[in-house]
Parts: sequence; structure tokens; C-alpha cells
Amino acid sequence: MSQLDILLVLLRVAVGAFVPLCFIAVLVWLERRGAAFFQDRAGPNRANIFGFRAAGLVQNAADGIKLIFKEDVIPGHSAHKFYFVLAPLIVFFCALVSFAVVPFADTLVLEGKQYIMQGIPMDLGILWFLAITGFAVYGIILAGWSSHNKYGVLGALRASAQVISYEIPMGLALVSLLVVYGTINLNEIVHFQGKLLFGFIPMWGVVLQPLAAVIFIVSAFAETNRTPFDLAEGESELVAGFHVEYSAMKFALFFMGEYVAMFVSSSIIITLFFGGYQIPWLSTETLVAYAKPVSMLLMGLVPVAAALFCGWMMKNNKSHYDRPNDPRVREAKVYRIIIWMMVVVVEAVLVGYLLYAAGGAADRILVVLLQIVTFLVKTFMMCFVYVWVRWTLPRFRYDQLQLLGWKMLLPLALLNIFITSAVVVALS
Amino acid sequence: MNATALEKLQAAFPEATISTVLDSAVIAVQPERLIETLSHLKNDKDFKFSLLLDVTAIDYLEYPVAQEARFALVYTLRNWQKNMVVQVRTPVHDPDAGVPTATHLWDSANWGEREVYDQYGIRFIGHPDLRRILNHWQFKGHPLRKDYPIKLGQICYETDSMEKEIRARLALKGVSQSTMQDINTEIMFLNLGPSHPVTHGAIRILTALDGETIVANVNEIGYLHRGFEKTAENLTYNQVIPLTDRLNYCSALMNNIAYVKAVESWLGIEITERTKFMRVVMSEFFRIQDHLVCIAANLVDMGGLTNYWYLYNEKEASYDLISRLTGARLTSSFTRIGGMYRDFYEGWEADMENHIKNIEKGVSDSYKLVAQNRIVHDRTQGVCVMSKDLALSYGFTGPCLRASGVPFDLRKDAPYYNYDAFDFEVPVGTKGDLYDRLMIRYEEIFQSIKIIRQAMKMIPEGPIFVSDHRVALPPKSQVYGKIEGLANHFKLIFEGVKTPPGEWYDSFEAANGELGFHFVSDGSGRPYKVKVRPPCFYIMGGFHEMVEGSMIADAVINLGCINIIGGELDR
Amino acid sequence: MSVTVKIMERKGSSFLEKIYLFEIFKGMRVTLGHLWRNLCDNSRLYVRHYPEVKPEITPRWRGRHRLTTHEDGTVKCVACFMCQTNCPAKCIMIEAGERMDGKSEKVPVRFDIDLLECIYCGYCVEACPMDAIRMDTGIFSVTSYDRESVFVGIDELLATKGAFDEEEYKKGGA
Repeated sequence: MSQLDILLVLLRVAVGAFVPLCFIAVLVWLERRGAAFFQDRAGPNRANIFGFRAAGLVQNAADGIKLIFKEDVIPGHSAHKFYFVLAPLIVFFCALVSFAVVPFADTLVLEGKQYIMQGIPMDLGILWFLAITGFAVYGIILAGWSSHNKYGVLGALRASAQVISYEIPMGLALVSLLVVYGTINLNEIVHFQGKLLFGFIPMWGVVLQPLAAVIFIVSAFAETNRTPFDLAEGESELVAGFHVEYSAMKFALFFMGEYVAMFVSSSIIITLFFGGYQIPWLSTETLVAYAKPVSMLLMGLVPVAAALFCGWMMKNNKSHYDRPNDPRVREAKVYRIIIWMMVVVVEAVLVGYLLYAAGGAADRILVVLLQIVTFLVKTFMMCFVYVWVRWTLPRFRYDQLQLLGWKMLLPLALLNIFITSAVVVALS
Repeated sequence: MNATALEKLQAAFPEATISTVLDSAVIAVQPERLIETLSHLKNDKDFKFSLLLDVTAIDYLEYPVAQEARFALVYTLRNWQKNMVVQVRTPVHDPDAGVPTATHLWDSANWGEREVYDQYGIRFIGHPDLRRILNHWQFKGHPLRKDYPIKLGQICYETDSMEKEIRARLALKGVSQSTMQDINTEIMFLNLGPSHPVTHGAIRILTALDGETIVANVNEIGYLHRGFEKTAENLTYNQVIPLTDRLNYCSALMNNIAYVKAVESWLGIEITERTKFMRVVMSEFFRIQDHLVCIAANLVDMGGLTNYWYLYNEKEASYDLISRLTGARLTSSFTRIGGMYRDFYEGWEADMENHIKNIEKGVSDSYKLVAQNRIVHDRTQGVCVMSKDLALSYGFTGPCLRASGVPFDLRKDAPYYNYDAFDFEVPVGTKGDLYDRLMIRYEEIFQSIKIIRQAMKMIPEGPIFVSDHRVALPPKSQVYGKIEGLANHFKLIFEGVKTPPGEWYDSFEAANGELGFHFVSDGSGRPYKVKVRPPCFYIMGGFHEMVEGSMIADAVINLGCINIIGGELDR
Repeated sequence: MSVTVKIMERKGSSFLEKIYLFEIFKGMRVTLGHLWRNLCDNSRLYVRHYPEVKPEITPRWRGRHRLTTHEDGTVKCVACFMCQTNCPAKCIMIEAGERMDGKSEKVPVRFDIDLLECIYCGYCVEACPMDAIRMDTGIFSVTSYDRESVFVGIDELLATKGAFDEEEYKKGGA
């Protein structure tokens, strides 16, 4: 294997493994700040390093340190201490590994060789995701059982029944998608969504299969145990459900596992239904062909975006009460300098690209970077929808959840398959 | 109580002594005729006293006037349709031998008589479950007896497993012993509480579960029992007012008003018009606060946490007005016997209007998130239903009773403080499920806002204290200057407001239901006995009826819906 | 002027309500409205930045107690025991002694208040015939590291000054 091969393998593994982990911090911040802003309050705003609060991102570091130093409790009366320690590992591992098949950019062609831009370049596609997510529920069941606590057992029971019930509508919704797309490879699914319907609407999954989209998104909420389906850990009913006896780092693993699962679910949803890493109307070939105009457009857009953001930040990032030597104003000024420095760097890179490396491999690398950014932005927006729904809706009761899964989503998914197949057969 | 009703009572009970106290009739019978009298009052078509409000006893050990026996037992009954209140009293010569129970007539007698047994030691023959309710199970002695020293506290060293009680309840529900032994159909016992996020305080709900369905339920209360009634016997009437703050601490001023209204009605004092309107405005304002807390906590239990913030932010803002007016956020202690502590401050109308507008906005935001949301409908409609007759039998009052379809509201049926001059609606539900209880509270907030706006327009200028020297502290200038003022002040502080000897009961429509006070006065400035009739005590007594047969998740939101406030429940 | 009964309407039977999603989207719009308003202008957040921003304390606020003095600095209190009697929590302990400077017969030799027992009801202020005890220090947060320092004596009570001037106090409180 050449050096380039090794480099790209490392790069893809790094992105596939570390992007979800970094996103945990972003998601925790989004959850807490988003919840606060929905509820007319401020969220975490005190943790700071030398006065730099980063709008609450530093709180993640504080939380991490606290969780590491907390007392790690293993219930003495539990007979299955091995499973007690194993359970959060299963949940976290499965969530992390299921991201391996999601393409975060189109296939990169460098020096004649094709590099599939996924964590692990295999063509199992969506089947890998389904298999691994189903496995994560073992962690929850083991956690509840080995806690030797009635609340834990109830939480574990509820979670297991819930996950099993919602795997089926999820799979069936996928079947109708597969009928339309004709492949299980996620990369090809994204390519399919690049085509245009009636000449101007991108054939996103949500346009072609709205019912399947609804069913899949609802099932994805249920699979990740997010409100309104979070009764396995319903705080007010079962205290903390299956993770009631967990403390410190093991609890942190559950917590992080849930956020990684949320991230992965969001990425799968946007890959299947919202065009994945693709910028609408601009396929990879178009971008590569028009690389120079695109980069000139970027050179114009990046400073504008930075200016808008800095304006908003300077207006809002100050203490809204009388405070001498306001550290927040100082912080905002420092951030403004950093942002403009980053803009300068980006502009320099783009200018360098335009002058020296236009045409050839650099075009493709630029396109890949753009697609990664699009992918992350779309995933972030879907994660925001997760947070938004959590703070709007109350939770289901256990039997109503089962009713929804079996008696409403399952027949709807079957109906969807029939209609889709009929339409596809008629049109072909 | 009009003359015809009294005549009918005298005709129905010829050997009983009937007297009128305020507007209730007091029927004194001998213990042998007690149950017969009670059942006649309940079942006879002329009387139909379907609501047993309260059961209490009195220890006459230190009473200046000799009585027939050391103890007397009082049952307070209400006919809500005709607005009649009757108190049936009987002397109890031997508390250990006891009197026959009335639980077969009204289910509310179950907990009422348990409390009498706990506090006074009077046994009830035939009671299905006679054990302590407010004090812990290892307590020795009966605290409200006059010979129990107030400083003697007792510590409980072991949890009450309540196994006997839950097994008895399971047997009642038809679960046989063999089912209990069989591992495949075994019942699981789960304790919700006493420290659990849902109990909003400390209440223990012991459930016997079959999967997630509750087969049997037994509750233990008394974790916040602080001995209000015993403490009040050592304080003057005015000194008890700060203690009433701590009863229903979500709507503290309402308890103050209920208490002083009861004392003023016995003293025969007519408070000034301005005070009446002040009390109406503040009662309705605090009713809004209580309902905001109840709905917010209930929705948190359901999982919709954002509603909590939309409702609570406005409650927090209202504390600005409350602290400017009364001097404290929660423990207002704002009323005095004969009037109010202080007048409204300048600019209060603008503040109040501002707060009401914000409350309307916050409540409508929350309403939009909840009212037509099918998830909320599924969780609350048809769940934990309490039928009309059962609700009356258990002594429910207030929004929970109105949810079951009984249009009983003291502001409408026995109006006081010019309530009949206002234009408002009393919301009544149809099915008695959680949905009704929740929606009625939303509607009551809007109706209270209507009343406040009307009262703010009608409130007259004038003094806020009656000028009666037996009751009102003289103004400070007279206290500093003249000897009569000083002497009056001195007597009122040291001896308290003297009430004529006797016993009386008066009630008030608090946020949770009928808050009643039963007083026994020996003629001095300190009450001989104060009994609070807490609305949520009797509602909690009926909790197991609502919850058995539904799931844990329903029990959890039911507890929030019925607005159990620990301070009022346990006193 | 009438008080009528209103039967509550039971919602939930229309098709749009039954399909969950429509009402869910309407609810999501409400929360998004809040988010957008707060994001555009985060001074609208309902937050008090305690301890940098303190709550508003009015003259009527019943904070920690203080004993007042005459213009020449001698204590006004005449140890009449009215506040001790009127206190529902029995948290004031006074010992009287003879007053030497002729202003009154008695003077408190010991005046202790157990601030942990105190229920901050203001009855001592109401009972005092000399306007000697007031709760207008504006101290609303009574905290300490040990029980002993919460048991204030006459020196501490005389040393604390009121947070309002006489006119404001008369208008708002006394």
C-alpha cells in the first residue's frame, strides 16, 4: 500500500471515530443551551477558563472532569458485577461503531484510485447500521438487570420492548426506500438523491417517500430513547430507569453513548432522506468541473458570514447588567480577532489554490471538504430537531408507545411498501 | 341554616340537642345513637348530607366548663346542594372502648377516624384499618391530648414495612395466596417514595405491581407533620397566622385569609369593604399561583418540561409584587384578625395588571403546547377516573370534585366577601379523569384573572382595619403617646384577641378545595383547639381508588394532578 | 353579575388532533418562537445573574433584625418584653437591667435572637411600642458556617444599620 493509501485509511478512521466523539461535546452543549433558550433561561454560563466561556462549551470540560473524579459505585448486593461494568461499554461501543458506514463525502478519486469516504469502506450500507443498533439494547438490559434494583429492571424491560417494537417499522420503512433506490449502499443512495424530479426538485428521500420518512424518523427517535420515547429513563417515573445505580464514568458512558446514537441516527436520516453530504443541485462532477467559480464564491461568502456572526456576537455577548471590565466583552473581542484570523487563513488557502493548484487533485480535495462541511451542517440541524422535539413534547406511556409502534406505524409501513412497489412497477 | 331546616332536624332527632352555631346546626347525641343519626342524615331524602367534611375530637381535660365526658367526637357534614352544614357531636366516655365507626357510610371517615385515633386515642369499632396516620408507627401516646407534653418528641428507628396492609389490600382485590407464591405470576412490590422525584415532597406510595399495572396501593403520609394544631394551642389567635402560611405553602395568603375569616365570623366582626376586596384580589392571585405550580409540576412528571418554565417564570415574576406588598416571598402572614397587616402599596394596580398579562401569555403558551396534543390526551383522558359518588364519599372538594362533575364551589354556593357580585364561571368536568382535573385548573386561572380585573375596578378607598379596640392594635402614635393606647396594645399582645367561649366551624374555598377551620374556644385569647380541615388530606385518602387498575406512569401523573401539598396534608 | 357553571370541553376527537403530527408541529412552532426571540436578543432571557445582581428589597421586606438607637446612640429598647411575648417562634431572649441615663426605667442587658428559629414574620416589629426593633437591614440571606454565629446578640443587632432612610421606611413599612 502506498503512502497515500495509508494516509487515507488513517484519515477515514479518524473522521469515522473522532467526529462522533467531538460531536458529543457539541450535542451536550446544544441540548443544555437549546433547552435553556427554549425555556427563557440561560443554561450553563459560569464555567470559564480565564474568563472565556465559549457560550457554555467549557461546561463540558467541567462536567467531564467532575465525572472522572466522582466516586465510582458498584452496588454491593449485585451478583453480576461483570455485567454491571460491561453494560455501558456495550452501549457506547455499538453506538460508535454504527457510524462506520455513513458516507461523509463522495468517493475521492486520487491518482486514479477510488477512496470510499466512510469510516470503514465496505458496501454493507444500511444493513450494518440496523444490525449494530439492534445490538445496543443488550447493554441497557444488562444494566437494568445487574443493578439489582426494581427501578432498573423496570427501565430495562421497557427499553427492550420498545427497541424491538420499533425496529420493525424502521426496517419496513427502509424496505420501501430500497424499492425506490434499488441499492443498500449508502453512497449510491446519496447519488440517487442528486437526480432531479420534474427538472428542479432534488429527488431527496423526503420528497419521494414522505410517509417512509415520517415512520423512519419516529422509529429513530424511539430507537435512541429520546423524548417522547424516553420512558426507559423517565426521570419522574422511574427515577433514572436503567441507569439508576450508575455513577461517575460509567454513567458518563451511557450519557455519551446516547448522544453518539443521536448523532448517528441523525446522520443516517439525512443520508437516506435529505441528500446526505450533497449540496442540493450541485453533484460532485459539477462541483469538480466548476471548482474555480465555486472557490471564488466561497471567497466572497466566508467573510460575509463571519461579519454577520461577529455582529450578532458583539451585540449579545455582554453582561446585561452593570459590570466593570466586563469579561464577556473582552471575550467577544478576542473571539472576533480569532474569527477574522481564521477568515484570513481560509482566504489565503483559497487564493493559493486558485493560483497554483487549480485543476487536478486539489479540485477534488476541495469538493470533499465542502461535502464534509455540508454533511456536518445537515447532521447538526437534524440533531437540533431532536433537541427541539425533546423540549416540546411530553412522553408516552409504555402501552401507548407499543400501540403506536405495532398498530399504527407497522400497518402504515406495509401500506407504504405496497403503494411504492405498485408505483415503481407502473412507472418502469 | 334556615328555620325550616332546623325544624326538620329537630323533628327527625327528637332526643338530640340541636343548636345553631354561625350557619351550621350542631346536633348533640349519645354514642349509642351516633351511627343511626349519621346514617339518617346521609340517606334521608330531606337531608342527604353526602359529604363528610371532617372528623375530629376534643379533649376537655383543661376546659374551664365541665363537660359530660373528657372527650367529644365531632363529625362535620355538608349538603352541597342546599348549602347546609351540620356537626354531629357525641361524648366519648372511654376512648379505649371506643365508638362505632362511620366508614360504611362515607369513605372519608376512614382517614378522618384514623387521624382521631392517632391524635386522641379514641378507638373506632369496626374500622377496617385503624392505625396511625400522621405520627409514625412507633409513636407511643396520643399527642393532641392535653396531658401529652409538647416538648416530648419521639424518633422512629425502623421503616414501617406495611406488608400486612398491602397484603390485606391484595386479598381484597382478589389476588390469592397461591398467586403470590407462584414465581411466574408473582406480584412485585414497588415503593414510590418517600424520596422520589414525583412525590413533590415526601409521601410514600407502596404499590403491588403485576408487570406495570398497579394491583393494590397503600399510602403512608405524615413525613411533614410538624404539629401545627398542638403548637397553635399555645399561641394567641394572631400568633397562629404565620403558622398558617406554612400549611398550603403554594398559596400562603389564602390560608391566612381562611383562618382569620373563621375567627372573625365567630367574633361577629364585619370587616371593611376595602379589606374584603383586598382579600378577594389576593385570594384569586394566590389561587393562580397554586394552579401554576400544580400544572407545571404535573407536566414535568409527564415529560413536558418546557411548560414548567413558561408557567414558573411568571410565578417568579409575581413574587416581586408579593414581596413588595407583604414583605416576604412565600410566608406572607399578611392578614390580621379584623383586617390586613398593611394596605396596598402605591402603584400596585399597574404591577398587578402587568403580572396578569404575563401570566395570561405564559399560560396560553403552555396551553398551546398541551391542550390539543394527542400525546397529552392519551396520557390523561380516561385515566384514573373518579366517579361522582365515589368522589363525594371520599370527601373530595375543590377542582378534583368539580372534575368528577359535581358543580360545588363555595364561592358560588355559599358566597362570602361579595363573590356573588362578580361575573365568573366555575368550570366543571364530565368524566373525573386526569384530563378534566388538568383542564379545570387552566380554566380556573383564566377565571381568577377575570375576577381580579373586576375587583380591581370595584375596590373602594377606605380603612383596612375595623376600628374595634378588642381586636385591632392601636396606631403606633397612640401607643407611643397615650396610656390607653399602650394598655390596649399591651393587653392585645400579651393576652391575644379574646373570643367568646364555644365551638365553631368555618370554611373557605382554597385552591385545593374546602379549607375549613374548627375552633374550640375557652374564652381566652388562645384557642383551646384548632383543627384544620385540609382539602388534600381527603383527596389523598381516595388516591388508591383512582390508581388501582392503572399503570405506574398514571399513578405518577395522578399524584401531580391532585395537587398534594405536604404542608397541608400533614400539617 | 352572575356565577355560572361551565362544562369543560373535551378536546381530542378531531382528525387533525388524532394524527399527532399536526398539533406537534404547532407546538414546535411555539417553542421555536421562544428560541428565536431569545437568540436574537439574549437580554430577554428570564435570568437574574445572582450574586452580581441582587433582588429588589423594599422597605417592607422582613430581613434580618436590628435594634434602633436614639440620636445620641443609646439603645431605644426598654426591655418591655412585648417582642419576646409576641414572637410565635419564641426566638428572642431578653434580660432586663436598670437604665442609668434616665431615658427610661429599664434597658436590655441581653438581647439574643436565634436567627435559625426565627420565622421572619415581623411580629416583634409590630409589637414593639418604642419602634426599637426593625427588620429593615435589607439582609435577605442569613447564612453562616456554624450555628453560633447565627445566634446574634445585642452588639451585632445594634451595629447593623438600616438599608433605608426614615422617609422611605415610613412610607413603605412602618
